[in-house]
Amino acid sequence: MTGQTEAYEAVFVDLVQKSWKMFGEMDHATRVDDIFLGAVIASAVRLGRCLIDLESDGTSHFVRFEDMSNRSRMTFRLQHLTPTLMAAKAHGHQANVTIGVGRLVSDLGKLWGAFKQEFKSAFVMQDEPGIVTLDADMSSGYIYAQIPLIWNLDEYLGDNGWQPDYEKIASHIYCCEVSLYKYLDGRLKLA
Amino acid sequence: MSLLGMVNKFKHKGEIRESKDEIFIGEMIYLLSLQGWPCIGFTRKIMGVEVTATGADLQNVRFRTLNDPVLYSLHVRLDRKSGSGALSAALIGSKATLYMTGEVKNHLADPDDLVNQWATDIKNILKFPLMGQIKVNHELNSIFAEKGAVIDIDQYVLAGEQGRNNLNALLLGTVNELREGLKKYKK
Repeated sequence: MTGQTEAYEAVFVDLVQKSWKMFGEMDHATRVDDIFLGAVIASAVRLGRCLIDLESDGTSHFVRFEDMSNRSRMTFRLQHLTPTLMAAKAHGHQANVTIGVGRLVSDLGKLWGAFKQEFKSAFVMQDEPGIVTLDADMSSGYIYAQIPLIWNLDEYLGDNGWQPDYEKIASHIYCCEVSLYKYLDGRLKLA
Repeated sequence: MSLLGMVNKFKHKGEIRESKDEIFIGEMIYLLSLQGWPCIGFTRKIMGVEVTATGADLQNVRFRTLNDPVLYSLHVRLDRKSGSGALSAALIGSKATLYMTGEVKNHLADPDDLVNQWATDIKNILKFPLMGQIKVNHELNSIFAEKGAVIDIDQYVLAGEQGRNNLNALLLGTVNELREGLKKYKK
């Protein structure tokens, strides 16, 4: 191989390697929601909960957990708002997150009350975060209280974006759960 | 217990029976997080294209095997075959096929290496694995090793600490086999 060909190849190899680096960054930007959702699942299972529902279409994700000791449930919905590298560089990795808690109730009146509330909620604009709504699952007898939030996922995934802070994720979800249970129990007493 | 309470109890049992594959996936994500391997997707890669296929009775989860000396990623596919209904659960149990695929990624840029890689791809294109065997497949920069097995989900989920230990042994044992099969391809 001549010296000139070697020089051409060196440029070629450099171009390919730079492309991989950029591709890696772009690929990571599209996977941040999946990394975060996996961390939510790992955090919940670590606390003794069972994952009982997992739906994902690649951009919108929904998971549901149950604590087998008391049958209480937690739901987590995630939609990545900045799924491209360009958007993420400009705004950071933001996501719509909806956290819910569910209680099993055996009182048909309470279930029906929550169901009516859910029906009314359908007519209320719910694109703002921080609005607690009720939802009733008549088939399984659960009433859920849920709240939509906007989270900055970068806060939870470590400096390189690959190492989730499981403690922090579990702790933030737990804080939301405590408040939602307070609201749900207060509403059920009034029903 | 009220009538509604009894109905709820019955339905709850059915719901949990239907959710055993999700419970399995949740335990698996937790156990692999202990290895430092984050989940990177709920999709399946077919001919280089990612296909979303996670839902009822079919679960696809991919992991990035950070800091592993050989593997770049791991893909797990769980296809539940029986046990969603009360009758099949009682007669056959919760049987499923579990496919685990390890990936080695070689970022080859040298034209000579690329030609060699292409020649190996062609040799492997018509090879299909038998159950329990490891199949190695080349796709350009990636080399995949896949192993499939029929499992009884009940041995691994809702079975206390023993179930979790069984699952950990199954996962890490299979990963070791895949790693051994792929070691020689890592450059």
